[in-house]
Amino acid sequence: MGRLSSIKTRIVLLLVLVVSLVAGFSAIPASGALEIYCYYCTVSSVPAVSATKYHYDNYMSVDIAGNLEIYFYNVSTGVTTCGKSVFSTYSVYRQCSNHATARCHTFSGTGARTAYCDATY
Amino acid sequence: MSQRLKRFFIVVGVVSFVGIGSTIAFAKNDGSRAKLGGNPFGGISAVASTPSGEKVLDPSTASMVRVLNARYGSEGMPGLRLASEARVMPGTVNGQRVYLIPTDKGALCVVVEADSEMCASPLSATKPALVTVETDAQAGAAPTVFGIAMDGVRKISLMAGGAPVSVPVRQNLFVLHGGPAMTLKSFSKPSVTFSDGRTVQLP
Repeated sequence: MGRLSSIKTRIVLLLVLVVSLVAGFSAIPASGALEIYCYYCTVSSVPAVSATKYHYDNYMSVDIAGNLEIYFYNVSTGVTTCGKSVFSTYSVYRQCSNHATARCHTFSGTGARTAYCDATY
Repeated sequence: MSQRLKRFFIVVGVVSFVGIGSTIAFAKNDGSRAKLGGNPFGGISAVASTPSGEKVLDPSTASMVRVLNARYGSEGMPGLRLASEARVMPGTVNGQRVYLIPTDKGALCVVVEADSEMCASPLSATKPALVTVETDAQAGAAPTVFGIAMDGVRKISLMAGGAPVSVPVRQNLFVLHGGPAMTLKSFSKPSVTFSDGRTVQLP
């Protein structure tokens, strides 16, 4: 414990703290929080809908492959942005940003699926 | 130095070492785990002899893949993306590179440079193409239909805005630019035509 009280030890510990904080922050993605707007919910042609926020991306996955579609929809303007539809896949992801609701659903004959959908904001 | 301060520095030291370890583990998480059987690149000769590994990914895409792996892990489909086995397609989509990345659950992801991803089962005789449609009304860009098709596929056919359209496949990649008034709903489910004339409707 005598050594611990030395200035050298304190400097080393503080350096370790600073390095770990810098490394930790650099590993955090640019966008912030994750909004899970469909947690293994059932989607079909009727989409799951997130809250209206400034979103940075949108993601959807299913365990049984199907035709999936994700997009942002601005309820006020009726404008759809950042859309991506895929045929017979397990997951779909798109990085783009807008102030809107994030949505996910199945289409083109896939029918109902248990899905997971989220978006960062 | 007081006992309290000593204890504080000890706790800070331990937490810092744990923090560094977990941070490095997170940053290096490219999903390098045991794969399920089969060759995910089977039937895609355009990437058969190209270099593989995380080094082929541009930094933005590498970061995107790391974030997706950290977010979704190996639970459920499509599984962990094996960035260590990533390959780059010879062509581009709207000037952006296209990567193929297998997962530890045997799926294959088609990743567009710092933009998007779709993951599905690898190409097969019954599903010889992976097709996606992307739109962005805010950017004012017309929709883009693109994807990958296995060797021997000559063209992809679909209805675009009510009119039949065929897209040639070059080096396992195809790209179609839609009209400005088109939306996601303007495109039908595609079918593929092989060089020998066989046609397969995608499931």
